[in-house]
Amino acid sequence: MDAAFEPKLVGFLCRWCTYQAADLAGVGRSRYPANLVPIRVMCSGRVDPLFLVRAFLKGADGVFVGGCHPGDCHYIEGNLRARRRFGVVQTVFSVLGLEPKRLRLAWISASEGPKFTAQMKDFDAAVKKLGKNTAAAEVFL
Amino acid sequence: MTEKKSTVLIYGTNLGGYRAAYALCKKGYKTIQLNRGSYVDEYQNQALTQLPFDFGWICGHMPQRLFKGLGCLTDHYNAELLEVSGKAGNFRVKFKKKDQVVNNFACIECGRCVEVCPVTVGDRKAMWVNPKVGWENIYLVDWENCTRCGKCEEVCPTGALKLDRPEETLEADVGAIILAPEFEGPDASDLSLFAYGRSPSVILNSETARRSLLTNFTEDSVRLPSGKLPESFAVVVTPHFNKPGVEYENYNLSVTAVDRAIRIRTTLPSSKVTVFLKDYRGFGKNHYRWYQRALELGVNVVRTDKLSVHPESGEKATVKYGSDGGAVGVELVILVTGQKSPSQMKRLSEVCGVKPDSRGFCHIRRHSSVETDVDGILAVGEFSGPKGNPETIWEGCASLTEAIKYLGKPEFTPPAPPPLTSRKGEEIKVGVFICSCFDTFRDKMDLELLRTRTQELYNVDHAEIVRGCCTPPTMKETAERIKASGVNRVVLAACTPLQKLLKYRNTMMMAGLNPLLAEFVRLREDVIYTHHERDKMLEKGLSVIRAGVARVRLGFEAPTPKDKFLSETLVIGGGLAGLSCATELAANGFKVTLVERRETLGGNLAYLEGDQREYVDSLIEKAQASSLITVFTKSTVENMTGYAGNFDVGIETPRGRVAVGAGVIMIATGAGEYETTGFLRGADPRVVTQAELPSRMEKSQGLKHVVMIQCVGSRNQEHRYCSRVCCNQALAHAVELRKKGSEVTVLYRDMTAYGEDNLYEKAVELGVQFVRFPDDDYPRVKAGDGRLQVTVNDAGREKTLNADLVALSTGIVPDMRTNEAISRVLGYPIDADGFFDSDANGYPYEEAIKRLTKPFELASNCIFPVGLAHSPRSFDETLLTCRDMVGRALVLLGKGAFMPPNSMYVAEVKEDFCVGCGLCVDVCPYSARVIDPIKRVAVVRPFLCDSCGSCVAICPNDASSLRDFTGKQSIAVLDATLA
Amino acid sequence: MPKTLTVNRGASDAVRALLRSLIEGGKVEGVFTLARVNNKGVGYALIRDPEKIEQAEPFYPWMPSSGGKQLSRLVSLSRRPRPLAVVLRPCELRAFVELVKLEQCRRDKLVLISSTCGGVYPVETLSDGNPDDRVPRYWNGLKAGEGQPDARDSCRACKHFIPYNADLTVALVGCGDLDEKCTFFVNSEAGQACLEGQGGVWGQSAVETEATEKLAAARDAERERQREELHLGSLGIEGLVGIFGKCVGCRSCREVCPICYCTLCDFDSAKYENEPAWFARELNSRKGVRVPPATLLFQMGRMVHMSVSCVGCGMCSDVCPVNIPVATLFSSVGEANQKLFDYVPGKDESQKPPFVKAELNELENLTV
Repeated sequence: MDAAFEPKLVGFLCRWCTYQAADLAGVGRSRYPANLVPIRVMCSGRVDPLFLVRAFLKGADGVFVGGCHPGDCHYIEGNLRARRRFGVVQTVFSVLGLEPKRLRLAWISASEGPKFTAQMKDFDAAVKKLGKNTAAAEVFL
Repeated sequence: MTEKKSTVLIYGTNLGGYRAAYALCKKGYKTIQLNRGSYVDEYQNQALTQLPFDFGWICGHMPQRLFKGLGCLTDHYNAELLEVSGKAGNFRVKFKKKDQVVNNFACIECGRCVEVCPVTVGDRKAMWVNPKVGWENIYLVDWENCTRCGKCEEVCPTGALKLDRPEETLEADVGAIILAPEFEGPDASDLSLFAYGRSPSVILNSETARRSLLTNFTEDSVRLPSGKLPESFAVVVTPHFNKPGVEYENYNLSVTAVDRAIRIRTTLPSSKVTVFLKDYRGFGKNHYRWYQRALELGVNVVRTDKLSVHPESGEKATVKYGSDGGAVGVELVILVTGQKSPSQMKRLSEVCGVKPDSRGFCHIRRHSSVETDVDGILAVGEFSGPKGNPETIWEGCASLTEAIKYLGKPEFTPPAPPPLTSRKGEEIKVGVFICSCFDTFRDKMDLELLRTRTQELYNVDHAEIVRGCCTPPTMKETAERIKASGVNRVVLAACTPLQKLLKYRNTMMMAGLNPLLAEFVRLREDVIYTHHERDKMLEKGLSVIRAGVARVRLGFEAPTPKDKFLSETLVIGGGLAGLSCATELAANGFKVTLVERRETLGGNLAYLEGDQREYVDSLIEKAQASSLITVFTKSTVENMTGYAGNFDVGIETPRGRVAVGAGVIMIATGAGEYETTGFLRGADPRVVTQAELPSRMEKSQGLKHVVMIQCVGSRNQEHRYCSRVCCNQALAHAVELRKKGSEVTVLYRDMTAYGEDNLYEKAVELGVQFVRFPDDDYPRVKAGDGRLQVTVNDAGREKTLNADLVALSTGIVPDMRTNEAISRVLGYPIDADGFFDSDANGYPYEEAIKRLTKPFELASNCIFPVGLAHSPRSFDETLLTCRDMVGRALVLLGKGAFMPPNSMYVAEVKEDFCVGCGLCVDVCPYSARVIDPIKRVAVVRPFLCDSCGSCVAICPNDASSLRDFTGKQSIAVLDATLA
Repeated sequence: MPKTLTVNRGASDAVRALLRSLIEGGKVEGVFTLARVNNKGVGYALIRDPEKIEQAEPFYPWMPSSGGKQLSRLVSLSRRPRPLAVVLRPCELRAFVELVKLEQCRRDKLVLISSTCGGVYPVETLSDGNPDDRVPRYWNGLKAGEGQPDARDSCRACKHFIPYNADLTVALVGCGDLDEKCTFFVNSEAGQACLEGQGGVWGQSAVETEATEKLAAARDAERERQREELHLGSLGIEGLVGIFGKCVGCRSCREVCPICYCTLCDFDSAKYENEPAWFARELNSRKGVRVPPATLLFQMGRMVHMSVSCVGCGMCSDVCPVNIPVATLFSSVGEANQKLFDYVPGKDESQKPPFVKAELNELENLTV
């Protein structure tokens, strides 16, 4: 593992829960690695599976999707649908021999600031272990 | 006569109070809310204290903040109600209040006050942030240690902090008063029977809930003080065993206990969990299923009459129970405690004349839901009795229904948005405005460097630093700067857009810019507060700004769509629930169509007791006399087209098909009684139902012994729910029979007795005999020589009772044929038990709180099930659901036209791309989409769209889009983020 | 067990006779079937003229395009007053049912006739020498219950060769006497109504036989072999570039795919147009850009969009000008995804596509 490797991570965070948990982490002055850049979405159900594929092929070392806990979705079942789609993308990744662990789906409720921080650290560390995404430097994609 | 006032005073911050404030504000009534505490939820409501689900409370406060921001809701802290004079419609109230030291509405949470505070107290300063309230930032002063040096006040950039806040006494004229004081649980002295406070191994369930507040339930929620994880648990429902009158039980305690057990079993699978209770009294929607789930998961449920907890040395305790020396040693005892009667009662009754009931809760008038004994003064939530969360929320809405008659015309209209200038056709010019948050960001980050690097980014035409963007003067200043810069797309890099979204959007509009042309990126929480390596902060800051630039470059202006909203209501069903809804709506001047399939109104009159009949008769009279109510009897709803706000309904009447329009539909179709041929029912005239029993009791001679059998058609494989009313009804009859001298034996599984009348205790006192039979072994009835013989399995022993009369407590069952037909016509779902789905359908029930408090009446598509169509409930409980739903309807009706909840941020369809596959229709949570039958493309019903974007994600070719999250934008944002 | 009707004619003749009688008896408005075109090759046709029925080749071992997709375009959503009779292969029928679920066409007023299927030859062999030379070999194979070694890869690996939603199923696989006899399996009332008045011997038996089971096992083995050959599971970016690196971006695979039902594809939308700023960034980061760009995105995107509904017909591989084994990849991904949701595309019309529903308690191991 390259000690200097700083993964490039992107996260789709649902506006009602995980994005809000990040708010809470921020206001609580939690510290976590700066590698993940969040993108706010209204609902994890808005996350088009292609976003994950595109991010990966663009060279993201990890893609994170954060939503409300099952049963808590502001839009009732958006997160459950997100989970199904996420499952499909992960399956595509496994079958094609890509690394499904570069994709992570987590339920973090609005009040779980500490969980958000922990997830940011954990995902960062997990991706560091996997190393660089070789798609980043591949021209003939 | 003096004119009626239209402001409402709300005293207290329980859930019902919050909900009432929300409903009243939405209807346009100004409200004043008095909080006894020095910050939000210092006095916790029942949900926060008892909720089995461990969660923060952010969603519940959003509507309050919204109306506060708009100026419709005023709240006061450290407040107390002093005097009430005048009468309903025209009260004069006097109250004292003292503002928060840190006004958290104006606080920008920069933390400078904490940094400069010279006093250290343990691991914090004398100026500190309360960690217990995760949903708002509560900056508090520890007055015991504060030296009043005043440094914090000096450095506060916004003037939100003032150490000396004077106590003020204010007066106001209000039309009505709503009392909503908070929850009070038992203290250690009330729980001595359970060794609470005497053992490290005994904790309250509310403590585990609070420990889990910011993390959800984890191992740490139950860790012992030594750090050890317990392996054996006892969960005890204390009101079942405590001295009478100490604490009262609301119906969710039993389910709370099994829920806690389930959480422990799923989190610690090797744990051993025993739940101790007297009866499983979960009778809300889905509660019985929850109990079964606990059994499936291996939770041991022990029912007993007597219980005490004894501390052992170390982290251990013994639970002794029953009269046969039962004892279990465990490592952790979790006490699920009840509620005490409100200590506020005495003072409030002195101040405003409300009266307590026999248990010390606020007394509510008969057949009212929230009206106290004083006209114009209402009480909601835990103040008027122990109750579950759905009821508390419903009372909040119901208080709009019941208060409105005391109030004058609504006075509040939100201020009109500033005029916008179209920027169509202009060359795109993007400006990035970086907020310095009153220069506090400069402490942590080199904003000048960020600005220079931003200026160098692709497609950025202008970059500058602004002082602030969330206080009225800085909003104005920033708007001016935007105008002066000449840009037509704006990226505002500031703090979280979640709480300040409306302010940011307003700032854009003040600059004449449609907010769809702006993006607000979160510089503070994503960068400044959470990281400290300067180069990485700069990189991440640039990433979020780049993404914002990419989004606004593809932003387009579009107006807020509007759609009409009919002010008529269709009520299906002319029983108690339907009549109640119809008359309440008509009383507010709205037209109602009432459809009843029978020949006459009134519904199941045969089941009414006491003055209930009179009440229903008076409703029938009112409905027939009202010129606003059109009644169709012997009629059914045959078809429905249209959507929320614009329903077209076809009614089959004896005189042919009638078409009516409606904005709102109430389903009040009621339910029926379970019919059985078991227990010799129908074969022997001495086997009657509870409903028939009163007429038999009149001539009670010869009724030496009456046997009652509970749960007939309830809580079994066929009907997996509790019918809620049968136990109380049986107990009332048993008490009456005892008074007349009959022997009574009640055969039961769990007595779900509840309510003020304490019928269970009374029955025991009067010598009614109780025999519990196992869940799967119902008693059998035989016709013997002369008398009936009832055989019951009493703890494994067959016991035969001779009876002169057997009364079956038959359950409430949905009329499946009707319900299914209506469900089909209206496209409204029915739940697993055959009742209509509702916002309280969460699993378990109490978890539905987020759905319950959702600031979106249209979530059920303006179709509201009430009364027995919703779930089994009593007469007055039925009325509560009606008033709740009428309250929600009143918020909507009469407005004529509606905007989407997120104004211009709605979904759209690119018709050329759409192939009409309907996937988006299937996934839309609010039925905001439909396939146009002619064009075969999806169309959006704008005001039902809450902008989630599910339709966009499922659309295979992006024919569906969300105005500010179009596919193209999202891809551009993603690419820019990763660049 | 379904009712059967056995007639003393060869299978193709029996079906032609049935189709003809359906038209002549006025039971259907027309029939949709493969038919010879000027005696050179076959194409799908909707036929009314009873004489033209003689040209019908219901079981001709080629699939020039997915009949399911073609049928869906004919029988769109408007109501038809009179029924059509349709002969489709099992995978085509499954594709059709998927399209019904996606509101692209209607199932009613159709008499669906299908058969146990021995597979088809690749389309390119239609124009390679004399295709008819292959036909006798194909029929002999069917009689013996065996597939053809030069059939489509997908067909050789197909396990769904017994139709799911047919009103009538014609038994072909393993029927040694199919030149003389033909057995119809009746799966619905509509199927029964079609056979009323037809001569033959009525009976009752299962469509699954030892022969179909044997063929299924052979195909399972072949499927495994194909997947191993591709090194699925360990492809990685390098392997994928090896496979898709030669893609010319013609989009033929999408055009022939029966499940890709959009009229305008997402990947043709402006969303994926690349601005100078994009090229500049790509050149900065990966120091080069493939042209046409984003092939892998297109392929993986399609896998994400439609693999849960993939019926494994193999049309995509057939038409690929550079011989990318698209179908093997897609059906492998598809099968894994279908397993995830316990979903067999085209099997049960009432089972909604997995994306539209969701359960509270499922897939819990996907999240942290």
